[in-house]
Amino acid sequence: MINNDYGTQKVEFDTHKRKCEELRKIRMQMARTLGVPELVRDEPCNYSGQCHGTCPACYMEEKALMDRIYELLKSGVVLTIKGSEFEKESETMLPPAKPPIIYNPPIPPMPPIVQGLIRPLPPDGFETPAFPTPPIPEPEKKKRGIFDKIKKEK
Amino acid sequence: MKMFKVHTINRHRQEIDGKGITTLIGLAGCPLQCEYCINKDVLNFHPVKEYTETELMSIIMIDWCYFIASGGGVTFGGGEPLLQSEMILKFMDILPENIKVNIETSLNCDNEFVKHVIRYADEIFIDIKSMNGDIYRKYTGKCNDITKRWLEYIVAHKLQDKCVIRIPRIYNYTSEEDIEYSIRCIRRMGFERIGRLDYIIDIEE
Repeated sequence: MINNDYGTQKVEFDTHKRKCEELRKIRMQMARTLGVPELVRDEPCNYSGQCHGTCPACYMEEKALMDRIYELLKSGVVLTIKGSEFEKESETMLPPAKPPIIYNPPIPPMPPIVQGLIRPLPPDGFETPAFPTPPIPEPEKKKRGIFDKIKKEK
Repeated sequence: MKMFKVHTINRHRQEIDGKGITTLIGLAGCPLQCEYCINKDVLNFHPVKEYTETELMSIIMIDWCYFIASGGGVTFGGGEPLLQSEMILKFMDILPENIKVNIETSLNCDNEFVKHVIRYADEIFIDIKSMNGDIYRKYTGKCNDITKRWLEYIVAHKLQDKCVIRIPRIYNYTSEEDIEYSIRCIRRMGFERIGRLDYIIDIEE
């Protein structure tokens, strides 16, 4: 089997670009449902460097959406998933969003080109994020109580 | 203090290991020695990162908005995730209820917490290799009595609806007749959700 590093890298690049675009479309759908379409970029990402299909710019949009969900849950709006769609439970007007924060994170630099080949991507595992994870809203914190159920059965 | 022994965490998987967008947590360790295993380095618990259930939850919650939007969640695979059943239950206990927990397993593992994971997981993907005991032993190095016992447990407790049985075509081990035999056995036990798949291996010419 011929091991063509550049060919392999190109396939991975296309896969990750496709993943980026699919995730962006999901974020756009969420943003429209939540009444904040301005939080997600209208156009596909034009960054031509390497990425895993997600980057600081994507993360900032995700964080903005999570903040909006958090805000709605705190104000008592019920959000449910019906089938594979994300919907509000009722058609009532959503409370207005706080002024959107415009995120302008730096685009990650392109890795250096070594001997005519693009340096391999790090393994497709999880790199510890430099960003704090968002708080979990109170309505979401309900425990499943599995160990309590197991104790009762005994 | 017990910790998760995690080999990889793979984000943004779409409709591969369950509904919606999922994060796959590859747990280290496996009782089987499958010839074509694609994760052979997880067999010996090395290299791993160790996390408590709280630390792991705070890591995966970075994708909370996708889980909520798509009905997805977390999938435990590996290796054999049921080796760390107790930790999985502790994790499920603190995870918000609307985030799904799926398990990808061979079911060839026995400890006191396995039955609770089977009961409380949202979806279970079971790779049974083959229902023919000889083929199973030749391919994995172990017998499949424990797997059969757990399949019977699932049927007895009417949990088949959340299980997807995967029957692979294994190069040099299973023929079409062997696969049909496995499908018949599984159907007779009462499982409806059955999927066939091909193991992809590199053949050096």
